[in-house]
Amino acid sequence: MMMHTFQLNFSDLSIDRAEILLNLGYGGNEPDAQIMSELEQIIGHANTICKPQAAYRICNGRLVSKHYIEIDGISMKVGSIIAGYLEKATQFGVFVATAGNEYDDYLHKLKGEGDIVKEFLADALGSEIAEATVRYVTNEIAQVVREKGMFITNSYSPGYCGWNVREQQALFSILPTEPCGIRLNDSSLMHPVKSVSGIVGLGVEIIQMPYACEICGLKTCYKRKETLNS
Amino acid sequence: MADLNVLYESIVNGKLESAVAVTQEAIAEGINPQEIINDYMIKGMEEMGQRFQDGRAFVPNLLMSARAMKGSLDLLKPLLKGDTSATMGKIVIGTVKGDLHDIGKNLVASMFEGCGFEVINLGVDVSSDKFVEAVKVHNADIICMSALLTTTMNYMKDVVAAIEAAGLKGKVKIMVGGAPLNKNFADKIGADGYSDNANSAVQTAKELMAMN
Repeated sequence: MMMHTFQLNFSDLSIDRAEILLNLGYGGNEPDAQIMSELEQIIGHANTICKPQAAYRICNGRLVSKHYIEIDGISMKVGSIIAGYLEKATQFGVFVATAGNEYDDYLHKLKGEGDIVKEFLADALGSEIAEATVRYVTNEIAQVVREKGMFITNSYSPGYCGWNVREQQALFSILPTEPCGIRLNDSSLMHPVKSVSGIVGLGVEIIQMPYACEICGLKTCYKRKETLNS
Repeated sequence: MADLNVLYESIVNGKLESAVAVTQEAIAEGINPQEIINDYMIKGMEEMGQRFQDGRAFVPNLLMSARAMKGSLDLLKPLLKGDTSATMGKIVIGTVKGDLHDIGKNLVASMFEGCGFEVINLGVDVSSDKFVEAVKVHNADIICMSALLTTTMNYMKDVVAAIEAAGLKGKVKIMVGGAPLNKNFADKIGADGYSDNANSAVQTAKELMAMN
């Protein structure tokens, strides 16, 4: 099945400032004015340089066992936590999303300048840009499959919830070479750094659950949502 | 006359420009650089570290203090050349192979530097060979490893094994940290120290240096 690609502008994304503050370690607390001022400057700059991209393919697939799924004939060991949420999937949306090379260059530039505050703020924003791009592409997938009476699961990515990051190689084998300009290094990590790859399960019997951090035993995970809600 | 209490406050409040201005004044007046660092700058970082530990400050505040500290240290470092007492110890730090997350590791590195350690930052996706080589080349006192993923933290075991194979175990202390780790994991892989935040990492490094 064909690949759908999106060349986006920063303004196409719904950037969630609460998520950025969570990435910065604030939980539910308010940052001081100086930090907010520096963050807003960086967001303003990102608006001028950032060119996010996303792409997805819809593929046939199924849950094979307690730990394994198969997509387009490619077997992937996603682990029992993720597999449990994909039981009803009859197809999969395989996607990549990236903040893009331009934002990566910006992060490298800040690192070279040695300003660790700006570097930290820009890194947190970059993570949110990548996540907002994921939300964009998974919304696109949801809209497309809704017309067929199907629903989507939450998205799951190699490196999280027990799915080994090395499996990124298998995931990328389902996609065209360097989708959205994203390439994998020998350690199966993505460049540009602020990129996300993953899957969503699709099916008529799927009921989308709330974001399911509570299923994961990793209480200290920096992506854990309860920090925001507590 | 340079008001070094303003320097202390500037470090605590993360005010780079005023920290640099007072440091320049102090240098011009010939105040002993080691005194400026030990009695005001490191004390400022320690105060910020304590606020962070107590939940009264957040990571960006810590980084702002470290940025102010670095601005002043950059002015003072050239005046310290040849003074071996100027460093509390040498630390090789990196995020382990398979992991690209470096912000937390950089924060810890900044705190180490801010508190008087010499830091060799190897970056991210660092192999065991690269860690061992850096320990040998720099004659490091401590090796500090970071990981953010449960799927990459196990590589720390490989690094510990490589340190042992190179005959360096005991000569260099091993510290680990990162969100998915805990003390049990650190003990299990044979690390000498573990910390769950940048401030306690400095305390742990000081304790390990005292054991050397």
